[in-house]
Amino acid sequence: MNRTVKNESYFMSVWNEFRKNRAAVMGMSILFAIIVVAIFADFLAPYDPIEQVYADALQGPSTAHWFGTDEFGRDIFSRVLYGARVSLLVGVVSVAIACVIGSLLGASAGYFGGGYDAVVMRCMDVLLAIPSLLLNLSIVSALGKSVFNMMLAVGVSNIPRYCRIMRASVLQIKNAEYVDAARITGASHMLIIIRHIIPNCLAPIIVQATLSVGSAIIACAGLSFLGVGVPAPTPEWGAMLSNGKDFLRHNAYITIFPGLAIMLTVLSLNLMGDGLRDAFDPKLRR
Amino acid sequence: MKTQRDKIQAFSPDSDIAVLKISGLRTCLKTRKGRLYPVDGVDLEVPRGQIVGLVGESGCGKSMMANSIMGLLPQGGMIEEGSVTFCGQDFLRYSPEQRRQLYGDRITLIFQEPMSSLNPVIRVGKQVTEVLMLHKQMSREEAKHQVIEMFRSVGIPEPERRFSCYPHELSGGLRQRIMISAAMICQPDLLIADEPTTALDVTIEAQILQLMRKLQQEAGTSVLLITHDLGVVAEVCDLVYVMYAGKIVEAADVYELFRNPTHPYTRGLLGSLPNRNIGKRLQSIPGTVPMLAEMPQGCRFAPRCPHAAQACIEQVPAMTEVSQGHLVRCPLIPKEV
Amino acid sequence: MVKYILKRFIALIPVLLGVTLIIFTLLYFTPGDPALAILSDEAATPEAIAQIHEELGLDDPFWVQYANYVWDLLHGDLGVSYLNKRPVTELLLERLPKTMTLACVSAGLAIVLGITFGVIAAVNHNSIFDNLCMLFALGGVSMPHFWQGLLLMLLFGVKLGWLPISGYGTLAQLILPALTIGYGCMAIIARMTRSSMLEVINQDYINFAHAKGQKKFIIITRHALHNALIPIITTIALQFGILLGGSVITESIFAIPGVGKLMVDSIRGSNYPVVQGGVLMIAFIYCVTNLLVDIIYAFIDPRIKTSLSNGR
Repeated sequence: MNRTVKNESYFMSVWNEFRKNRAAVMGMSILFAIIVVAIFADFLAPYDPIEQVYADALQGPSTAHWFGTDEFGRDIFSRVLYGARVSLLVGVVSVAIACVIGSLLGASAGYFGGGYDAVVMRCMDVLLAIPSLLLNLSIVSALGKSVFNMMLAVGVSNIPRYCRIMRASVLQIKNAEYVDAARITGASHMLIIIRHIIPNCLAPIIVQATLSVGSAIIACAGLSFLGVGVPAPTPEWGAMLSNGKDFLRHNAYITIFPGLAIMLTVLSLNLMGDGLRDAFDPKLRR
Repeated sequence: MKTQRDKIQAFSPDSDIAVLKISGLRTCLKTRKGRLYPVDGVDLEVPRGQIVGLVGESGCGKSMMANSIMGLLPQGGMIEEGSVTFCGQDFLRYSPEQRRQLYGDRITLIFQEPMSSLNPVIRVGKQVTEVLMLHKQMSREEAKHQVIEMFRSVGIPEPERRFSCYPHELSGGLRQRIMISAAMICQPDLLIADEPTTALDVTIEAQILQLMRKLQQEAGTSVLLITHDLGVVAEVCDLVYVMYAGKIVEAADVYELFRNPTHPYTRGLLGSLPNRNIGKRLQSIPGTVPMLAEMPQGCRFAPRCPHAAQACIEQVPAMTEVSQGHLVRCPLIPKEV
Repeated sequence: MVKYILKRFIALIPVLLGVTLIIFTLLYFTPGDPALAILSDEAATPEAIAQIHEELGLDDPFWVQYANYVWDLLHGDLGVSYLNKRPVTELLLERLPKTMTLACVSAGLAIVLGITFGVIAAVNHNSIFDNLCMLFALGGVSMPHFWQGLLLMLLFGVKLGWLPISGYGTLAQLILPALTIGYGCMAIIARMTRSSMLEVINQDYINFAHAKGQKKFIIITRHALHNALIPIITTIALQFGILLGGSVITESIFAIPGVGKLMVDSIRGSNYPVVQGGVLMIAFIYCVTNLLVDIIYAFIDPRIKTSLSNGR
C-alpha cells in the first residue's frame, strides 16, 4: 500500500497490468457501451419511454417491440435504454457522495486521531449497525420520494466503507518519512492531507468506488422495487421489475429484460473493479 | 520400533545401497517467461547413515531440489528428466499415494522457518502426534505418550505443558525442536533439512545441529542438509556437494573439500568464510547468481570467475574426477587453475 | 475472556443508542402528522387530533420525546401501531421467528455452499472448475436478488410448478426465498474463501503437512481451511446484515408475513412506530451477531485468545 513513488509510470504500469486482464477489459467495454446508450438514449430509443399506448399493451417481444410492451403499452426496449440513464446517474452520484464525505471523515479521523477519531468511528459503527437497506428505507421515507433523496440515502449508507479504508490508509502512511519531512518544513495539516496522503490512498478508494457503484445501482433498484425510489413514470429498472412481477405468469419478459440490464451493468462494474484491484496490487494476482 | 527397523531391512536388504540416489534430475518451472530450469541435471548420492551437505548461494536451486523430491513444487513446476531412487527403488515411478505414505514416515523434511512451518491454529503436540497416528496407526493416547518422550529427548523443557501449546507461544528454537520431533519421530531413512538453522541465533544453531547429529546417529537416518553456510557443513557433514545455478559444481568428502577446494566457486565460498580466514581480509565473490532466464552458455560460473578463459565461455563443462571421490565441473580442470 | 465479552457488550450500548437516535430523528422529521395517520378522515376533527397529540406527547420538544422513547424502549415498549393500536413489540415478536428462520436457513445455505465452492475452486486453482465456480459467484454478486427471486419463482413455481411461490409454513415454501437471499451471500463467501485459501495453501505449514505425509483431504479441511476461516468469518458476519436487509424485499416478493414485509407495509402506510421498532430490532440482532462472531474468532484463532488473556 505504501507507494511513495507517484509518477506516470506507476499509472502506466497499472494500466498495462489492467489491459492484460481480458475479463476486466470486457467489463470496461460493456460499461462503455452502457454509458453510450445512456447518453444517446434519445437517438437510440425507437419509442417514447413514457407515452402510454393502450392499444399495444402487454405484447410479447416482436420486431416492432424488441423487448415487448408493458401493461400501459410502453415499449420496454426504449424504457430499458432510458433506464440506463437513471441507474448510472444514481449509482455514480450516490457513490460520489459516499466517497467524498467518507474519505474526508476517514482521512481526518486517521490524521488527527484522539477523541475526534473515536467520535467519527463510533458514528460509523452506528451507521454500520443498521442494515443498509433499512437505513435507506428510513432515510427515503423521512425525506420523501425523489431521485435525489434516494441517491443521498444510498450515499449515506456507503459512507462507513470509505471512511474505514481511508482511515486505515492514512494511519499506515501518516508516519512515513516523506510526510514527516513535509511536516517539518511547515506544511499545514490541510496541505499534507491533500498533497501527500490522499494521492497515496487512491488505489483502494478507486477499487472500492468501482465495485460500489454496482451495489449502489442494485440498492437504488431495490428501493424503486419497493416503491420508495424513483417516482413513476420515470423509466427505472427496479421499478420496471416491480411492475412486471404482477404479470410474471403470462408476461415474464417484462421482468426479464430490466433485470438483465441491471445484471449486465453491475457485472461490468464488478469485472472492472476486480481487474483494477489486481492491477493496483500485482502481488495479489493469481 | 523393532518391527519398524525390520520393515526397512526388508525394503532394502543391502544396506550399502545409497538411501537416496539422484541422477540427471532436471526440474522445470513453467512461467510467463517460458520454461526455466532451477535444477538442471543434478547427480547426487546420500549413503546410508551419513550427513550430506548441499551448499550454494540462495537462488542456486537447492531448495527447489528438495521440493522436487518432496513433491512440493509450485504450480507449473515438474520434474522433466532424471531419476530419483530411494533405497534402490525408482521413487518417481511411485503413485502419489505411495509417495505420500513414505513422506513423514521414511522421508521427512525440515524447513528453514520454524516461525511459519508450524500451523498457527493447531496445538504443537497434535501436529506431531498426527504423524504417528497417520503412519504407525497408533491411538491418540499412545501417540501422545511417545511424542512427549520425543519432546523430552529433543530437549524441550516441560514437555507435557508444551504439548498443548500453540506455536505462537513458543520461541524459535523450541519451534525448530518441535519440527525436528515431527520429522524424526518415525525414525526415517532420509531427512532433508532445508536450511534448518538459518533463522536461528548462533547459540541455538549449534544446539540444534548437535541435536540433529545425535538423533541421526541414534536412528541411523541419512541426512541431506541444504545450507548456504559452509561453517555448518564443516561442523556436521560427511560429504559435500556444491551447487551453482542449478548444477553440481564440486563434490567431495568434507575433509577433502576443505583441504583441497578445486572449483573456483568453492574457493570463493571458502574465501568468504570468516573463521577460516582469521587475520586475512574476507574475499567475496563478485556478482550474483545469474537469473534463470539468462543462463550463460558455457560454464555458468564463468561470468564471475576470476580464472575464466575462452574455453569456459564456449564449452559446457563435464564432471571430472580430480582424486578418489572428488569430482569437479570446471573446464580448466585437470589443468591447474 | 469473560471480561472481554462483557466489555464488548458494554460497547454495544452507545452504538444501539446511536441507532435509536438516528432512526428517531429521521422519523421525527418525516412530514405528515401521525394523528392523521391514526384517525380516519371523518374522525379527524381538530379536537381529536389535539387529543392524540396530547396522548402521544407529540407537542413536546424533540429531546423530551426522544428521552421518553428511549425510556419506554428500556421497558420493552416500542409504542403502538397506528394501524390497529397493537403494541409494536408484540407485532414484531410474533413475526420475528419467520424472519429469523428464513435468515438462518439462507445463511446456512450460503455458508456451507460458499465455503465448499470456494475451497474446491482454490484447490483446483485455474482449472475449469475454478473458473466455473467463480463465474457462478460473479453472477451472485452481480444479480439483484429481487430479480433473481422473480426468476426462481418463474422457473420453479410458474413454469415447472415444483415449488410454491408464496406463503410461509412448509419447508417447500422456504426453499425459493432462502435461495433468493442466500445466493448473493454465497457468492461473496465463495470469493472470499477462495482468495483466503489460496493465500493459506502456499504457506510453509501446509507444505510441512504434505511433507509429514498427511492426506490431502485432511490437509485441506483441517490445516488449511481452519486458517483460511479467520478472514472468512468476518465476511460472514457482514453478510448477515445483508441477509436481514434482504429479507425485507424477499418477504414482500414471496408474501412471507415476517418482520421485513411488516416494515415495507408500514412504510407504505406511514406507520412509523412499527418502522422504528423494526429497524431497531434488526439492528440489535445484527449487532449481537457481530459480537458473537467476535467471540467465535477468539476460539478459531488461538493467537487472539492469548492476546486477550494477556490483558489487552
